[in-house]
Amino acid sequence: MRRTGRGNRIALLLIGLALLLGGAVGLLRGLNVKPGWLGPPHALVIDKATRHWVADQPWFWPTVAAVSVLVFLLALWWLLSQGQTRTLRRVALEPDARRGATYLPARAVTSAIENDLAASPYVRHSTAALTGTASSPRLALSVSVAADADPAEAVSRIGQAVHRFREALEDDSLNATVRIRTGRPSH
Amino acid sequence: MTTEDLAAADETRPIRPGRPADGGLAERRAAARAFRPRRALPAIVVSALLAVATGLIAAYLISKYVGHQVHVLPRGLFQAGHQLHWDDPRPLVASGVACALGLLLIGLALRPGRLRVVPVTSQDPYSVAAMTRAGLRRYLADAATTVDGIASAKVKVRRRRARVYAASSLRDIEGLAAQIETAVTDRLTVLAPLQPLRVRVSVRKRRD
Repeated sequence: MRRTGRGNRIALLLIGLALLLGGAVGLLRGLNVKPGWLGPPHALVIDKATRHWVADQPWFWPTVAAVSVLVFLLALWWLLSQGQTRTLRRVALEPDARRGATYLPARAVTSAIENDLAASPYVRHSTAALTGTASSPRLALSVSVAADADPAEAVSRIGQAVHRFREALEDDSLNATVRIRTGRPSH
Repeated sequence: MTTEDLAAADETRPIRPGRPADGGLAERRAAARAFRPRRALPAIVVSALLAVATGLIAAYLISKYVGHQVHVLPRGLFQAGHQLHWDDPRPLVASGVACALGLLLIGLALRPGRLRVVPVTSQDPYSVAAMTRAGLRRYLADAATTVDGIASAKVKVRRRRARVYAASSLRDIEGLAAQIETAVTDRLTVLAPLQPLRVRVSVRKRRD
């Protein structure tokens, strides 16, 4: 699922609003703030009239069951989407579909930049993955540099690798997101 | 590579190079979008709790129709509704807790969230780069220890400030703070965090 961040915020906002609204109604009624609106404070939470009304409606409990199944499935889907991010299996080398399609496995492309970075003395380990779409891929790069390396040098070295990567894919404006970590000093 | 790293590349709008006149605003925005936390932890907790609660309710009700009632819901919950009044302490406390939780979730959803990494200049209009906070701390502490007479240093990186705590074994520590400040500032100038960091240094004598 793309845009998990935005989805998370919207879902949290809606659930927060529902909780706040429910809690506020309970507080207002219990503290007798608006008795004309919500009813007297010293009344049963589930009174006799409500009980009879529910008993008279044959659709009530099946509807509650159906709604809870629906919310259960939505919550499960929301939970599972946290661990998902689409990585590409292949990239298109020829952006113009009329001239035929050439695809390259993403693994081949990402190992190329990992190997390029491994040649640098500053870089200890790197992982690359492609996201986005096959015709306009994006690069996610996570680089771990040696503790005694100069991160500024490492940044420029990574920049050169990304540049070569763009040339190989013939995509000058390929977006890259780079995370730099440092290991603990070995001495 | 974690999902967080992949999401950073995938979830944001395409990066567009800013005009030189905007003073790096476009670059700062692109980096903030790319590295902003996804609210994954609150989302996991809330979705799991919601799934458990609705799953239990559904199991209880459906089992009733199937004919094998399973008692998965606390029995006291129903009795409480029939016995308690709105102005009893328990409904009031429950309402108050619901209000507070609601406000907490709204806050988590609306507040922009603190970046867990420090965005740095990427020297490339279509890339965003960031360094982990721990990595930057080690890098700056290393700079401080290059000054003669400094035995050890610790660095705290805040949003706009880097605070250096250095320990010296020298008897005379006058002037050391200024030297450390120069050394650390030099490194920051090369790395160029998108949000400039002011350096403050305090030096103490090491007790032997």
